[in-house]
Amino acid sequence: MSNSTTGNVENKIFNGIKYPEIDNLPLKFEIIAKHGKARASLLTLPHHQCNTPMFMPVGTQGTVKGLTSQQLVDLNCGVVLGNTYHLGHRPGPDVMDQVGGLHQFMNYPRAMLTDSGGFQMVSLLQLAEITEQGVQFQSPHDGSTMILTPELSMQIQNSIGADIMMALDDVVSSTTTGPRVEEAMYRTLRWIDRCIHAHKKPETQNIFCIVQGGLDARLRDICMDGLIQRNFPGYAIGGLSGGESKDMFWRVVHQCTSKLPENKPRYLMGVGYALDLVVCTALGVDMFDCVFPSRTARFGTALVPSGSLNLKSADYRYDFTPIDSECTCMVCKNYTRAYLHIVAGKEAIGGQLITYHNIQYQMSLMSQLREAIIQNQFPQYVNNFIKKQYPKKDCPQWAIDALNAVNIQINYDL
Amino acid sequence: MTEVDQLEFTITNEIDQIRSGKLSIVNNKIEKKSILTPTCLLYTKEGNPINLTKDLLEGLSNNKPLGLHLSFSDIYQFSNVLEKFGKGSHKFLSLENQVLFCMIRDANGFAETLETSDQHMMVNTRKGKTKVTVEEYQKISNQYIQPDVLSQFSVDIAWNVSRKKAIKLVTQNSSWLKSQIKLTPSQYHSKLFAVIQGSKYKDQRMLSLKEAVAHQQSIGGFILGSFGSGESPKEREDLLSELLPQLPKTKPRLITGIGSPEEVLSLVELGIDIFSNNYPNLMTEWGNALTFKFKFNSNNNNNNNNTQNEVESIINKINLWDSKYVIDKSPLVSDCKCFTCTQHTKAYIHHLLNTHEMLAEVLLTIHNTYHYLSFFEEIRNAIISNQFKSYKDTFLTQRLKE
Repeated sequence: MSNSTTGNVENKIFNGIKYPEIDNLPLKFEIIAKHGKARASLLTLPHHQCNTPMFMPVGTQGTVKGLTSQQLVDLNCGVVLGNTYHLGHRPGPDVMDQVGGLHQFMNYPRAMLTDSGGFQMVSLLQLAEITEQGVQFQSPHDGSTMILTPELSMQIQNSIGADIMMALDDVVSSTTTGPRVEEAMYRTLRWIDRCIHAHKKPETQNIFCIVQGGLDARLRDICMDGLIQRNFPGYAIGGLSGGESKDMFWRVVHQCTSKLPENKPRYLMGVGYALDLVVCTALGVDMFDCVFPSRTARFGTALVPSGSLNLKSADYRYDFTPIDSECTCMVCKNYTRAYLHIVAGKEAIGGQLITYHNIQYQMSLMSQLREAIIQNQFPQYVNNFIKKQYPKKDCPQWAIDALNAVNIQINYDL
Repeated sequence: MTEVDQLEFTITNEIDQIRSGKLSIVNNKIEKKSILTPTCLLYTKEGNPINLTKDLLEGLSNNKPLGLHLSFSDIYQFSNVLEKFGKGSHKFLSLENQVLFCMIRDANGFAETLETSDQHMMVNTRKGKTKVTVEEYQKISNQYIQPDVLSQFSVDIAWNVSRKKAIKLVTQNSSWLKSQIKLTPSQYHSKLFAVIQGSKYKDQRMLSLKEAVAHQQSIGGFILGSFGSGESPKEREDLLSELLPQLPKTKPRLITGIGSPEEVLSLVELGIDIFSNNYPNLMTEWGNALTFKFKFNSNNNNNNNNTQNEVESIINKINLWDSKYVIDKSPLVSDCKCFTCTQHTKAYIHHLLNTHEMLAEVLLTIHNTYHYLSFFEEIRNAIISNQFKSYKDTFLTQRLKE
């Protein structure tokens, strides 16, 4: 490792790669208020200035299920996710190049983020073989053998052109234990330099790295050391939300947010349940993504401050109130639970309407969390949230423990 | 008690049998909303225009009212919900701004009918068939559904049924009409459309027509029943050209199940005002975008120098599954003002179809519906400017044979 300074930016060289790649990164992160570890910030990306903490809806194949790009803007979404694995297959990087990238392709004017394709290693592991070179797997579409290398992941993500790209990591399921976790963590570190080296558009696209190391605090620490030295514009916490106990989950998040640099955005991958969003915001996470709100919508479940409503249930047959009487979204202004009960889980329109509301729910939860941090009301907000979600005082212990760890006490009697 | 809405029809221009008009919903002499004819009705499922959330629907028509076809059997399944709700289907379905036609015949093609008796017909529901009597039909429709237009209690049968069956239905149909008028409070009469049955048998059609016309003081319009049920366009036109001149001009005429642009133009010429069909949605289901040319002026001066673009645009429809659109960054129709065409490309829609994403249908529905509605707008303009016949002629010369 060698250090040199250009202007105010300290450059570091790892394996022949200069970090950061360029002096003027296409990202600015400005914390505007804090409460304990929780932060409210402005994240400025090439296509949009985003308010954090934020939830990023998942548009796997270049669309958030059933919603138009205009509706995403109407819902005031900031970053929308695309999946490199899926978009790499269809329409593929050549098409992406020719149509001018994903922003143009789906005509979404705001910011986007692409994952690395690495997560599919976990979900397709029975088909995949991981070597130092990359991940070899059979295409589920045509059965051909493909190898996803850090270079190829970068190439596809460069074609997609999202504001934030994720480095290819060696993902292991969060329930895996033993030497495989350590191997994956070290490989993630080795692959990072290859990702940076292969990145062709550092002026317009940022690379976030991903902290791996399973549930092992020592490995997480080593991984973070390696990543922090390289000075990334943002850091993701990966390898969670895969079936581990919530007690382990929050401790890993807490450990990571305690060590990751204060002045960089932190992204917790694959997390989107309301309680997790609230707790992890308290722990200092800025960005979240999850398919849950849109997926559950297609099965007829709507998200509300008291939890969720299964609109398919006969309970709502004659319920002429909106999903959430305090929600101001297009769906809540116009449709009743009784009508949604008729179409929920059956007609496409049911999925469209409930997805719309659920995205609105996520957006407004995040903006309320942000407002509470700015107004110095964060602990009160968290308390109110938990009282609404758990009126029977049965908030899971892990959440209470996690909040205690950042000095937020849950008191049902206040 | 607030007054019941009344339906009014005014003719704005007519040449021979061809007419343009306005169908208005009037309350206490104040017009609440109206749609211009000739027009088409949007198809709905469970009361919702397919794939269109409220924001998309209103954007599609620039907040102007549209006519929507509600299928009685769809709504019947939650009529007890509407009963409790008590404020009618406009409010329940969040379609206050729209003109709702409650119809028995499904606009999505023709299904051979179910048994009937003098007292009832069978209605297909999710849970199977249910008997519905005229009394129930009248009550559910007027009290719970509260549509702007209500079809007479009637069932459509195939073109080629036996004479015996046709006669039986015509007799039944007449007695149903009488019962329904009797059962319907007079303030609801303007919304009631009588149905003319009789299949291919002209004498039976005439009988049915005379019966309906005899009650014209108690009805708001006419439905030409049992078309699109196996007849050829020629058979249909021959029969309709006999029937339509016998109808009072002052009332609107509706036909179900006919939708291709050629057929629409022929029937407009014969005097049809309202078309209820599933044509744009069928196009969407097949991954097609309507691209046919319907602008009157452009039809006139299109003889010389066809550019590549113009050759493309006189194709009636394009199929977005076709891999030739994989990197096509142009809109479905280059000068189309719809949301889909101003916002999205063929390449994107091709990708959405290819990946089985719901948004493909949403975007195609918006374009196809908009395109089809614009076609009707052009028909109305041609009628108002006394040029319908030349419009029809140029349209048909221009149009490629399907």
